Amino acid sequence: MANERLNAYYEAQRPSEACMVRLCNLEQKPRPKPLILRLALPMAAACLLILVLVTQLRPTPEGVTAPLATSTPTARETLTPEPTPSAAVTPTQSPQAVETPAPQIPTETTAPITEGPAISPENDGSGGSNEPKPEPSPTDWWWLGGAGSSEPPSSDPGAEDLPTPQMPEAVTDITVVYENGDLIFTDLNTGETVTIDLTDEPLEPGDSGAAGIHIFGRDLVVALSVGETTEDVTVYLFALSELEAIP
Amino acid sequence: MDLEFQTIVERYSASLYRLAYSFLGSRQDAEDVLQEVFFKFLRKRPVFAEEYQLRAWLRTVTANQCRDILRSPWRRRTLPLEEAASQPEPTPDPELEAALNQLKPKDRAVVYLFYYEQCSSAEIAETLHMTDAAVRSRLTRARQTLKTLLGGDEDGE
Repeated sequence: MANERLNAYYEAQRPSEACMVRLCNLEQKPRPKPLILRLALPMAAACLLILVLVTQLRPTPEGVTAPLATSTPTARETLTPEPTPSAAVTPTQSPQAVETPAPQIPTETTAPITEGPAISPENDGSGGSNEPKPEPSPTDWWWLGGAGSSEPPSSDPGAEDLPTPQMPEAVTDITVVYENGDLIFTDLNTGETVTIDLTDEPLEPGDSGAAGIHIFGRDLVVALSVGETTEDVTVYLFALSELEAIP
Repeated sequence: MDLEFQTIVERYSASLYRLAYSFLGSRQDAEDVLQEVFFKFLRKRPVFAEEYQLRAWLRTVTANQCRDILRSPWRRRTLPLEEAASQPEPTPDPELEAALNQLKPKDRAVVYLFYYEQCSSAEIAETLHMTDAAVRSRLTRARQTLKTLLGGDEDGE
């Protein structure tokens, strides 16, 4: 009696039809994929996209020498030649004194910026590296003196396309000569000459520097560099206003 | 042994549902357990040499699932068993169901497996993770309770 009652009670207990339908459909339902599989496709696509972007953005060796070399690297290269002592030595300098012809300075200071890869062979040894140089400081002599050549490089017709030059305009109507420990300034307009005695401050090989000077009613900056010997001296003259205008 | 999933569902769903209902006292919870058990079966795809092994596996998984639900703090806080039993659900024997609901969930499962499924105490012990002696003890206690509640004729003997 008791067992029959229990059996009847339990026999009546059955899952609902809806539950049975759900159970039978469990197998047909697409089972959820593991997380790694669900993420595999998006991650692979993202990695491929990143790879493509990196490949396209990374400059190839040809790209470095072809398009970029005509703009920034070469311009900087000419702006920052190697500050080696030989770089400051000018082939045309005389052993005793070096007179920097002032009228040639403007072309010299602007030409390296515009020249780029067309740097002259004699200057190539001093600044011929493709490696970028640190940004020059206006007080650095090697920057003021450029590659050390007093000869104006040839002009480049495509100079307008290159970055804005940061070299100051050199003084063109005043010449300066270093001779026997004296700095001799000559005003080409009036022919007036001023000599500054530097014998109390003897130069040493490798010395370089710049100083401000008020002469002929103008504020100028004279910069000089000593080469491997005290007889190899290069002198440049700039207007102070030009240097101050440099950002 | 290689049974189709559909066959397994049709063959064992009612039995497993009753076991789950004995534990939980709620049709909805029992159906949820049933669905979870067969979902686990599909995920694991266990292979058994004999069908009794499959039956034992399904019962054990069902019992474990029910225990997990009973242990759930959420269920304990929101739906006491007595309250669930008071839900207006159709039952052929409300008196017997009320008496069964006075038992502990594990005692109800023991009663079901022993009286309806004709399982031995050893099988029940294996399914419910208890000793054989514990099964017999629970069975004795459940019989006494049902006898008291139903007027002395529910000793199952």
